[in-house]
Amino acid sequence: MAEMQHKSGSTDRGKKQSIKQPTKRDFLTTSLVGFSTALAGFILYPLARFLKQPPSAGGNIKRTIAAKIDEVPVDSGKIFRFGNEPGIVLRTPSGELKAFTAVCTHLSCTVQYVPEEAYILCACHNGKYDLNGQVISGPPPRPLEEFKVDVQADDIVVTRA
Amino acid sequence: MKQTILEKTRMNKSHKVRNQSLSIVCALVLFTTSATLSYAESDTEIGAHLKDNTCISCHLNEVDDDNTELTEHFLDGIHARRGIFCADCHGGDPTAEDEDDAMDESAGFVGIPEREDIPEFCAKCHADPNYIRGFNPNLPTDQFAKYKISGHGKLLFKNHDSKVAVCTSCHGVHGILPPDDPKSPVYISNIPETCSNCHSDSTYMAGRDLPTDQFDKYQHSVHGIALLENGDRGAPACTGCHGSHDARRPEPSGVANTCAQCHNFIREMFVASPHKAAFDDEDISECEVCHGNHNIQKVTDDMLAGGDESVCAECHDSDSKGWAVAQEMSAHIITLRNKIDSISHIVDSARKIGMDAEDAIYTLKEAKNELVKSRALVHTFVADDVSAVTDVGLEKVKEAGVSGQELLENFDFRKRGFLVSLSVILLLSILLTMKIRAMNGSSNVSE
Amino acid sequence: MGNPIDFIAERLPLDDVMDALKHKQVPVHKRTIFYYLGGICLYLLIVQVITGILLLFYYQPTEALAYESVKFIMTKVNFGWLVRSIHAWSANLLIFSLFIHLFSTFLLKAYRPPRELTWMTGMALFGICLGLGFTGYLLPWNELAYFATKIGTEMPASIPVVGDLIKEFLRGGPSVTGVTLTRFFAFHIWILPLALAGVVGIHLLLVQKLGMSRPLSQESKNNRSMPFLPHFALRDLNVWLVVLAVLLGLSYYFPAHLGNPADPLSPTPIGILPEWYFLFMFQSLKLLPAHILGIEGELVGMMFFGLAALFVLLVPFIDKKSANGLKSPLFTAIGWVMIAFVIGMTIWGRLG
Repeated sequence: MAEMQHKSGSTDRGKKQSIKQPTKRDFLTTSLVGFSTALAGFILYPLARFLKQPPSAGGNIKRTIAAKIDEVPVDSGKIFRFGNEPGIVLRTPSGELKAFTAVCTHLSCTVQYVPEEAYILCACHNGKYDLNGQVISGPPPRPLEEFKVDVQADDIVVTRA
Repeated sequence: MKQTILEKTRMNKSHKVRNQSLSIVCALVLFTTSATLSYAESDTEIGAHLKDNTCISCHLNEVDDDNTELTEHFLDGIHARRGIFCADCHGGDPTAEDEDDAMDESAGFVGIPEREDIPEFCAKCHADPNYIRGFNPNLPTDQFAKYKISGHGKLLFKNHDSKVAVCTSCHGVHGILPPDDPKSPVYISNIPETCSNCHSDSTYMAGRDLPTDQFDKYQHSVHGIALLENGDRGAPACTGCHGSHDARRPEPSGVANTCAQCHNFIREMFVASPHKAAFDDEDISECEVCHGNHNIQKVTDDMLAGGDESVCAECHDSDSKGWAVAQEMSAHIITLRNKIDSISHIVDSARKIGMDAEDAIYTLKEAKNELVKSRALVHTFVADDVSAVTDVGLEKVKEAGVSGQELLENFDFRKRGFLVSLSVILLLSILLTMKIRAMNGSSNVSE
Repeated sequence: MGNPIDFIAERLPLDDVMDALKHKQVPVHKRTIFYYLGGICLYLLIVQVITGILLLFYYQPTEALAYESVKFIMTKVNFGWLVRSIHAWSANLLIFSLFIHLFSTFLLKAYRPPRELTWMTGMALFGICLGLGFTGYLLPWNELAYFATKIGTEMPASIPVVGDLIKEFLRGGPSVTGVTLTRFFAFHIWILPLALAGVVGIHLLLVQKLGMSRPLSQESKNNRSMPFLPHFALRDLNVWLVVLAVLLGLSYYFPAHLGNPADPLSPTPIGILPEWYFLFMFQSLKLLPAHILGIEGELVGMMFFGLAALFVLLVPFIDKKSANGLKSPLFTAIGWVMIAFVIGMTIWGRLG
């Protein structure tokens, strides 16, 4: 505000010192145009970047593509990233696709699928879950949260309830 | 309703009825069972349904001033709900109008059992697999057998010490609830308090070679907090380690097996380690020596080689090989922990200023995963096993550090962009001011 | 068709507009600085429209995704943090500038005839902007916004007869839910901006038509003025540049917060406050006793603010003295009392 006052105050002073050199004024106009263009650039660049497709499609923590269908053959599991947390998608020996949070309910380690034995293991303290996420043995206090699994074309899509 | 009555009739027929009065009671009970649950709702209903049961009609209306035991507790309990009424336990004839006939001891009336007799009193039915099967095929019938070998049972039967817990001490008396009913005193999360009723009462426990601070310790232990505060019903109550009906002090050799019910992985590592033989030779209970019992706390990294807190130092001298291993394991773990902490700090500050820290946070979580794993692996007492895992963790931290660094660079870009655009704006403003002044020189403000 | 510019110029009355602007003069005196405020408000409004539209590219107005999509804008979208921070800061600066614009106009009595309508449309714009601030605050669906909205929508409930109706209309039900969110979204994106555009049009038209008001206190001293084009316009532009710099600085050093996602089931956090521009009302209502003369205290407060707003709205017709070109010290005093009240209550609300 003070600056503004100063500027309006300068009106009178400006009146007294008349600048008549056309070269100086041309220079002023040119630099004004130049810097205005630069400013326009500085505004348009972020704007264009903003509108460009962001690095990862998202804004949705409820659904993610966990894996390609052929990445999870029968009797195997795969860890995928679900927001900030790992999830596990697995195919049971009978061919059914299932997905759970991969965060062990004991001390938050990431669990894994044990082929042939057909259970989910947390290697940190040997917590075992069955293929419904229920605790079989070990220290985990609660079952694993189960996610809904859908197959869309080649993608295994996992949805949090 | 008819079907259930038929079923029950059949059931009662198939099991040889214990005595005549019981069969009569059963008939009466069947007649009344259908309405049992609503008995408590109003006295008139109870009267209507049980008007032929002289136990209830007399005790409810005339003998006892306080009827709550009968109306609220007993009728809500599992026995009444399954059609087991007064005479099934206490004997007597509920059809007899006359007091003497109804409570004729010669006809099997038991009345109030002596405290010492209570276990056997309950065992009449509960130790009879054939009888119990008719009600719940999954209900064990070994409670009495187990009780006899428990600390309580031994004192009761050998020393005739009637202060010890009997069935009713834990399960209640007339309104006995099944253990999966949250109101039951033997529901998992109620057990510690139930035990503490006696075991924390120093007056009651006077003269016994037992501490009374178990409950206080337990409720602040990892298990107590998990069960009582966080409601993790998988966490052990007193009975988880001591057993219930066969409750007693575990033998040193049994402690580790008890812990291994849940912590089996740790136990496997321990058994494969040189400590196993050494502890067995000294008859030292395994887990308990380092972790304690009722007061088990969340473990800290200082328990390895952290000065006063070191449990290794209890046995291992500072120049021993064991101590060197403890120090090495500790160093691996603490290095990883500190690296995680410092990178977390960078990532967190980046997150707070609105940077996209998700990747770094995820990788850090993976590193923390390895840290937890490495802490479990100290039970192998092999430093290389620990470092194999911490090395993986360090890799992850490094990865997180790289993305953290990217964040900071990104932030630098933000800063440069801000400063450059700010300069452009201000320069433009200065130029504009100059332009305005120049204009004022040529065209005046009109008067 | 010939020159396309000529083609358009022949069909659009641009020349008339340019002529009017060319002839427009801005008085030059001690208080000229306050003429910049209208321009600042207009500028910030344009910034709001642009950044608002940009945010709409990624924002998702549902209970499940509102918070996540704002988080996405803040973290994943290139310069998303900047766009949202500018939108948030510009909103605050806009309301702040409106306050100064309003009070300076009041104190300089620029509402004198023939500018009654300019004044009243200005008041309407102020109300609309407050509404935009209130509705926009909820859209990130975070904890703070949720509870501020809960408190804010509770206020009209004390009005007799229609109070509950208003409350339930605002909330779309008895409580603040996802329905409230979509409702506020509709207000924030369509209803209020549409109203705003219309009223701003009338306001600007009136300003151009009637010219700038020269304050009574300055009338006798001189008659100096400067042409709007290009002299004042360039100064306006210069001020806008400075405001842009301020916006950038605020957004860089204090990027907009996101906080925790709203959880309707969690208890209201202690010390929750509405946005600063509602604080003086919030604080006044808080200070009132439960009952005044047998009427509910909150209702008395609401009535007070309602009457005060009505008074300010109609002040061109109430202030007869300045309408007749006389000094009107009573209304100057009222203006200062209002300023002191708003500032005092705001500070009290923030500290208390």
